[in-house]
Amino acid sequence: MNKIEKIYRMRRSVLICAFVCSFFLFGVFCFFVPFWSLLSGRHPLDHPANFLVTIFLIAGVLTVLLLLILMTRYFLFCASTLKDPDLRRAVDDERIRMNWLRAYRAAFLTMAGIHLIYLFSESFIYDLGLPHAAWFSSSAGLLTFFGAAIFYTREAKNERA
Amino acid sequence: MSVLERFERIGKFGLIGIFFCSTLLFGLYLFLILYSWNHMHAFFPLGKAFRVIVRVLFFSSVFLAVGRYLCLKMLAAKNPSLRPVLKDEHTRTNWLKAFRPAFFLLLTIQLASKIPIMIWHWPWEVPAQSPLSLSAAVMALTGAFLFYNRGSAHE
Repeated sequence: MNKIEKIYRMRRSVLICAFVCSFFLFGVFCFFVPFWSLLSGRHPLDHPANFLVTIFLIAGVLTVLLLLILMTRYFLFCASTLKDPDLRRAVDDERIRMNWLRAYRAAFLTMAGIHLIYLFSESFIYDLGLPHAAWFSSSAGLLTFFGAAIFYTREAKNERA
Repeated sequence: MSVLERFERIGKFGLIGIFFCSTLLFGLYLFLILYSWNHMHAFFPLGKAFRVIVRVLFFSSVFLAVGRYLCLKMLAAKNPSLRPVLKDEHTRTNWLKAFRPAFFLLLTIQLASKIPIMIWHWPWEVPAQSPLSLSAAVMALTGAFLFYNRGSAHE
């Protein structure tokens, strides 16, 4: 495996790990907070003894730690190898930049869409009564961002192949 | 003035109008945060005037967006030579670039509205969270596009 392939692989593993992290964040604010609050009338994070919530939170923390390790490894490897300008150009070309920009677009549209739904539901239809619009939209935005980045990176990988 | 110049002017001034309206809306919602935070409603009730101004700004930005879109479409339908300008690669890239600061601004607003409550337990609940975020999103998107696209007219 050459250096470029290795960088692509490491970047992809960092992205997948970040996607899983944002999935845990989204899971907390999309599933546990609204439904648990609805069922018990209390905030789910006030129940640390609950088995499911504890397992979910421990898994989330472990994924964050794994993400930190992967990111450190990736940045150390990049710092040591990307001193060569040709290699730098090969890794950070125009197409990859466009893929990142597309991922930003997808995430932005998701967040704006969630706020639009909140706004319309509160104004015209029915107050959803979900007090966590900010957390919900930001976790959904991060989830979409990393998901879209993985998707577009996969597309670029297929084109390279 | 040539048709191409007219086309570019409509696009640019439409966007400047949307940017202006959304910036004013964003400013008003920021004012609402300060207003509710300092309990000013006990001394100076806002009344109907605030709602009327907000609605006027909201509908004028929607009207500008729709009007701009229709004008550009009609001009492009009349002059087929303008169609490549609509599908210009440079403009598309600039739109894509504009999504990046808009996304980060939106994310920052969400986190800034929640993290002080979480860490320092401030008794601060942001009023009108969704309208504030949406006006900021439109402001950042149009502003960033105008910034990135500022050199294209000369080209």
